[in-house]
Amino acid sequence: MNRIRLVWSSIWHVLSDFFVTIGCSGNLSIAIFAMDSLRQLSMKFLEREELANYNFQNEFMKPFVIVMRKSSAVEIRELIIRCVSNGFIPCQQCKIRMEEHCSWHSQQQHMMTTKTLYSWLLKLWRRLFEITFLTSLRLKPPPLQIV
Amino acid sequence: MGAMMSRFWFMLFPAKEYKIVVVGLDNAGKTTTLYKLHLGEVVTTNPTVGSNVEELVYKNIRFEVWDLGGQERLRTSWATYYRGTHAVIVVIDSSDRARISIIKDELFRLLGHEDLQHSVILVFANKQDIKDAMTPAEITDALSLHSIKDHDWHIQACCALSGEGLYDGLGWIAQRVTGKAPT
Repeated sequence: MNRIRLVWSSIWHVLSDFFVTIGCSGNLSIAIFAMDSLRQLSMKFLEREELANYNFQNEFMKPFVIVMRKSSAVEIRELIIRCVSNGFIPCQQCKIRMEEHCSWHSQQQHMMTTKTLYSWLLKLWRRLFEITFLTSLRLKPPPLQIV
Repeated sequence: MGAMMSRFWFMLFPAKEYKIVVVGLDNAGKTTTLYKLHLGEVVTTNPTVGSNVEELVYKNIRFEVWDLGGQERLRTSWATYYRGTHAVIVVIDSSDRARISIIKDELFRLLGHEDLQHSVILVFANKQDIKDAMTPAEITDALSLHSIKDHDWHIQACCALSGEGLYDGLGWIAQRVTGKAPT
């Protein structure tokens, strides 16, 4: 986890293709296992802070969208929805970090942090919306409500 | 210098890594147990979908601990995670008398799985802080643990919120898995 983002970005290019391939596999158990591993990896990276102008974390969630589009298995798509609604929000570390910022940082730093956090949440929600939107196109029951 | 010595030490005495899976019904306290051991603090948890993985180091032994979702619809995917497992931790809500037979069924189903034939079984009787919680002896009877013949097993009373009993259980696992020939 100590590598710089540029290195991780290169690694992720390879890994994301791999996860997409396995996630669309016909073997349901393998696909479920892959999506679960992907979720945990993504959570680890979402916990890291990121500057407002970067989009690395956005890249991290692309495999979910791609598998959502390609997969023919309802179970996989449902698992992605459940992971997104349960696993990402709320993120424990983000809660802790917000509390720490409120407690310890000066007002100016707090404002900057708020801006960064807002940008991060905006990117995250854009991606989540994309996943949910794809869901509504494919499944007859209304999608899970993300609160 | 210190870093070099540390690297040299681990070269000579590498810490072996063992895999543990944590199973149990929903709301038994599996995720709380995992993070109490990993972070040393009680975290707010949501129902686990899929699994959580963390690495623990205990007495120079590294444990890769997989905490699996316990909801009924998720139990069918437990078998996916069994490969290469050295120990299984079954977390039981000691105050949940109504469902003790369900976890017994799940326990004997997993004991029959081929990937777990060489695993040791630790039962955590969790939530011992609750009034009217079943004692380890009661749970042993309810689960028919004495009828398990082909696996080492142990039951440990614990409270994940306070951390009581967790390291005793982990110590038992460490003793059992290191005493065996590596698979």
